[in-house]
Amino acid sequence: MNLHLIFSSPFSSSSLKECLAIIQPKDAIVLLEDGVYAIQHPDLSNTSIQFKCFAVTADTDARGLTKSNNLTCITYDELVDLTLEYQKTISWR
Amino acid sequence: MKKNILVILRSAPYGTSKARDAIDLILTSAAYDQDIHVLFSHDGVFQIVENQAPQALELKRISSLISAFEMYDIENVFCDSTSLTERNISLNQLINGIRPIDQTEIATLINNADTVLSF
Amino acid sequence: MSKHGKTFSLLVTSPPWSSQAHITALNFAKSLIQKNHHLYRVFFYSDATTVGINSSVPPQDEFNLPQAWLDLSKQHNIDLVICISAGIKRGILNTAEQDRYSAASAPMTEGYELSGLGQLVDAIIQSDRVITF
Repeated sequence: MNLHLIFSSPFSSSSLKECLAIIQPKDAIVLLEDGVYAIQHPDLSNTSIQFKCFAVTADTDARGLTKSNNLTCITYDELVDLTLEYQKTISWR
Repeated sequence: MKKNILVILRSAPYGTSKARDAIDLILTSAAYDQDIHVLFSHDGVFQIVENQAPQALELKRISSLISAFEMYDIENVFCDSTSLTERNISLNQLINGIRPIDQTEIATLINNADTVLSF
Repeated sequence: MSKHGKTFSLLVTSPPWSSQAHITALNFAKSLIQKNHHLYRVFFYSDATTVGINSSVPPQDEFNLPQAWLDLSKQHNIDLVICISAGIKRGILNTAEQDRYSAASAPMTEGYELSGLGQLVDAIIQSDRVITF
């Protein structure tokens, strides 16, 4: 029910770890800006993850990242929709 | 209208202005009679340890600002017990008025909030 | 404002040039407006307040970020608020504050409003969603 925005790379910031410590199965994560590097991070390739994962296409394209099967790439329009689908948004910069 | 606003303070004090920025917002929200909940987690727990003496830095003492929350009727002030353990901080090193909670209680805090701000 | 649209407010706390925050916030703002939602307020706090300086000269061949906020604001009548306490310590003053403090100048760009944290609290109260960038 909560949407978590991750802006920093998990290879240099603890934001993703902090988020994962309190995330619930019905929540979702959106990777934006340098947060899209989390596509390549072991914490998100773990197949036991129950929450949904998204990444903003503008940011993955900018950084030359290939898509992953674990998550769905979205536009900013779809991000707006997600912020309304979930009860509230929590930013982890 | 009263909203349940949760402010999560995740940053250490003094090295950046994030602690001050969060505290200023918390106090303003209280002045607007909102239902404020405060959570210190991760490096934010360093804001609530006692014996802070920032005089040589010419910065306001963060722990004193937090101790004044009570005066503004801000009573829902919590800290993440896991964060304390990770940083080897014992309860008797903390200033008064902060209740340690676990991950389950944190989830409840977050779920009950209308808006969550993180600093 | 569409009857079916929701009300959003944005909080920006990161600086304009050394982080991507303003670009992301602008793109999000444009999308929500295009989808007929209402952008109630954008509140600039901490280092984000420096977006309001009127003497910024971005490189000619690069995106004019400060102008983009102003254009969006004018086009859709959006409230752009710079936190007064965070702003004035960073030198972002309007003429009223320049007079009050006998300051050297008033470099805040026309089109922003300099106001207190109460405007952020008001935005939280009035909005269906508050997103921090």
